[in-house]
Amino acid sequence: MYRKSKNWAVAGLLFGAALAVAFAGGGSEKAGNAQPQGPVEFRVSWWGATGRNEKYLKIMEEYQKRNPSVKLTPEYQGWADYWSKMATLVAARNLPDVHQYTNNQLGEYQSKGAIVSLEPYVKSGVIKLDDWNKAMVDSGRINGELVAITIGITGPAMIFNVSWAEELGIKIPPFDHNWTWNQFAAWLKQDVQPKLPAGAYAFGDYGQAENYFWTWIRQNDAKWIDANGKYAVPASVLESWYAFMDDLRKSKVSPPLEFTMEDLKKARGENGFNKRRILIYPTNANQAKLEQKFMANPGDRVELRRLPRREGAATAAECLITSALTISATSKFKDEAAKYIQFFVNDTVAQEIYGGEIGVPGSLTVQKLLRPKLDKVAAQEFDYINLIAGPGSPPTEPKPKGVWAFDAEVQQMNQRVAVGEVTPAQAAQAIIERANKFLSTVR
Amino acid sequence: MAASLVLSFTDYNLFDKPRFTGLENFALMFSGDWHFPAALSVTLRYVLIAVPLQLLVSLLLAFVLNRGVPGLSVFRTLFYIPSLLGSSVAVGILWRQIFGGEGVLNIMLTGLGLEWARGVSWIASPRYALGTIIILRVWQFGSPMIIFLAGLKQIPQELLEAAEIEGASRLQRSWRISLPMLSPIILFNFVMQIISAFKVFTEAFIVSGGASGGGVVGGTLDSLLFYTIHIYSEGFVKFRMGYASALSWLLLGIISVFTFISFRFSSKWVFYNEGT
Amino acid sequence: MTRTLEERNWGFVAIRFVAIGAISFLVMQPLLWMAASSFKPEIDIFRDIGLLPRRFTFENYVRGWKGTGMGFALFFRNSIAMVSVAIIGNLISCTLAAFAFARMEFRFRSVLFALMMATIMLPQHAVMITQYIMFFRLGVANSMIPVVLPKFFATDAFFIFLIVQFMRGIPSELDQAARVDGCNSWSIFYRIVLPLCQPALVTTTIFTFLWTWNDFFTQLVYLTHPKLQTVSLALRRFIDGDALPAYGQMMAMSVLSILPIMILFAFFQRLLIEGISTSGLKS
Repeated sequence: MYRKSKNWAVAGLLFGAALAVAFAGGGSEKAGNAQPQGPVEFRVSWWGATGRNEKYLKIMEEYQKRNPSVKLTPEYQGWADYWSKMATLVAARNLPDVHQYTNNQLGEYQSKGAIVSLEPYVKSGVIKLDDWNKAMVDSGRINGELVAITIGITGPAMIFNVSWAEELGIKIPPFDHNWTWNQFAAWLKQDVQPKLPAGAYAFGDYGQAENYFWTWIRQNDAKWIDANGKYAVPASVLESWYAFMDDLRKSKVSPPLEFTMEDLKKARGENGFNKRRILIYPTNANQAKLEQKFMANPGDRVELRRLPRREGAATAAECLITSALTISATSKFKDEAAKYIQFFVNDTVAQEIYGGEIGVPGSLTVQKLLRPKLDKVAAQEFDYINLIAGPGSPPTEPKPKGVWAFDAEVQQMNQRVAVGEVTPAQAAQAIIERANKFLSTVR
Repeated sequence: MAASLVLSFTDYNLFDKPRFTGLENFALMFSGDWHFPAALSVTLRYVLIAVPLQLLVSLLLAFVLNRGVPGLSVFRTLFYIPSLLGSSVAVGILWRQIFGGEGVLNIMLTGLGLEWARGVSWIASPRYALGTIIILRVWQFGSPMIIFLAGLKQIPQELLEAAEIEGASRLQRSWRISLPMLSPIILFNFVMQIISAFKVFTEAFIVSGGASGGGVVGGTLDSLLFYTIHIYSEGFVKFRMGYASALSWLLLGIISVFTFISFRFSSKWVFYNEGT
Repeated sequence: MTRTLEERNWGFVAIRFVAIGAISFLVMQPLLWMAASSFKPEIDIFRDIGLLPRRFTFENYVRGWKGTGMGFALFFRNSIAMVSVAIIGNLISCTLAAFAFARMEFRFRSVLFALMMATIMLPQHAVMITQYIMFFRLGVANSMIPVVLPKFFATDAFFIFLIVQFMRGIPSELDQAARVDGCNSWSIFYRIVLPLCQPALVTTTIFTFLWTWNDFFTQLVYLTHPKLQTVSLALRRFIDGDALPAYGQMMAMSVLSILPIMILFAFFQRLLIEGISTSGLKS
């Protein structure tokens, strides 16, 4: 009958097509490395929200004004959606010509061959990095090869509600204070918590702050993955990580699990730090200026401080978190893309528009340019990042493949410790076991 | 679809060609995936509680509204609005406002004198978080209600009038006539709601904080790790697409079983008005 | 007798009204809060959590409407165009398929039915990547086509099933009577069965509108070009983990995004109310 055969035909067609394309492999890929002739048109993508999106769009506009033969197409989403999209695009090998990563995902995607090396462009002078902070440049290197140019560096920090502390008679340590984790814990328990009102906590739970964990790894001279591809973080390091926080929670210096879990989902302006429920917050340096804007008590001043260091260590070895631009391996306009990156990170107008949005720019020239326009907290952010990116701090290699995907497990284990389901020692063992199981399935 | 079935038997990291691994993925599910039990548990509990609850509410209200109430169309529209907002980002925020530690619900409860509710974060608590998502589904009773209303309208008025003349009470008419006539629709709603409940993603994702990118997937201690969220995390975050496909097909199997059972038992209570 | 009946009726009506009213108020709470937030300045939204804004402003609507880059006028146009095409596709293909399943005998009917049901049992994320690759290789990945084309191929099993159930509720004596009068299958379909399924068709329309509108993930993956952006995609851009969020604007635009479907719904409600005249049964 008419309808029946139509159904069969359609079903058969779709079935066949689906099978065919799923396994056709790389046959239909074009070699496309040579720059084709004709008008230049390429895609630029990023993650962001309203205000940030406008900045990117303005920068694109400016570039097109100066290069009328180039047409740029923007693609942007919120953070989580950006990564959903990236996963789909990398599978189809259809990544935008210019796109960005943080050094959390950089290693993952680079191992999939998603991006090209940028060394040729630096060597030929298309991208100029002479006046850049070396540590910041190096944050985009994988095995020594430069694959990403940073548009902003941030790193883990502690933010303090200074005004509230002053009101309570709590003395805040100086900017580049040199203290250990144990000294920090003791200070919290003896000098801070007793002065806080009921229901308030001295220090937020760092369990969900993956950059804190990364720093912890660095402070203990541990590596993520060893030469055999096995998880290389020692049990003792993991145990101390969980134990430290557990101790703070048990001493009521840090909030219980449910408080933290809800707090994580809260909007700016309603989280524990804004509302004087938590005095010191573990977060990234670039969040400080945002939190400042949303403090419930408008007069509350926010300041940054470094992380404590390990006993006997010279530095706190904070990891540098970069948000960086890369060029897709399947781009047909790599040279143009490189020029755009150069424009973005070094051009005065572009950088004035961007204004240190996502972090501190790598170029010292640009930093000097932006400095006078920064508000107090943003200026301190610059100082902070320059401090932790200064000479003497070990370089930050992007996370190897598989590590970023495993972050969520490390964080969730903290939750289990918090409710007493496992001890820190058991947690450490479980993490190593699970990490190795997971890594064995990662190609 | 066929491609994803084949993928279930491979190891696909989204970039290299899929590598055939046979039943490894399915073995992984039961021995190597420590989130799997949670995913099953959360989803099954959700389906078994939320669907009957939602259908009951929507059926009851459909009957009540069908009887006639002043401002009927207004109410109908109002009840439908929650379904409109269902998968929007706003819902996550709304739910936090209501079920958060300092949310509206707690304000009401402590106002009524229930002090233990002070500061309890329903959405962040491993025990109660699922409850908030169940309530979310029941809140969206408007969708199946519309379908029930449509079904009620299709019941021939003469039947009901004839019964009334013969002295049947309201309740009898509803129970003996409307309900059986409505049974194909009830079956439909039942099956459809079960299928959609098994597949729930967006609402849970947003309420558990996934969409705001905090790195938290599945709520506190996996209390909101719905099966589809687990699939998403495996495929899109951990790049284990082959395994994600295997999980998906297992879900399909589970849903088919539920559907099959529903259909099987339907002949006992569903009445079709065809060729007697 | 009549008078007491009336009195009783009014009492019940009043009770029903109050009960329904109370329920609606409860149901509407979150939405009222959302609407209220849309009129508050951004800073106030989480500080002043009452239902009546202490400071009233339209700025969320004004700034939100401008969107980023393109503006909500375009987003609404795109969303509405997209759902309209989808509705047409579904109405055509699903009714045809449903008729085949409900009324026609053919060999693999139950197998196909089961297969069709299976398509809605598989979660979206599993098929998304391979589906995207397929459309990408066909060259249509960055367009509306992958979003609406499947609708013309009866891929929304939900509606097929729904209409099948409705069709099965229509007595087949009607069919037989029509055949006696000399109608062929097509006429039976078009003139008798279809009109009697009106509530199902209206339901299909409403739900296709709603689900296509809100099918965020499909839109995210396929609609990349700025000129193709839809309302649901745009709403997700107001909030980001990293950058400064804009909750007020998001609330405002969310409120606006409900309006089209509400209008559609209000319009079609009458068709749901009127029901079907069953006088057709007699003739």
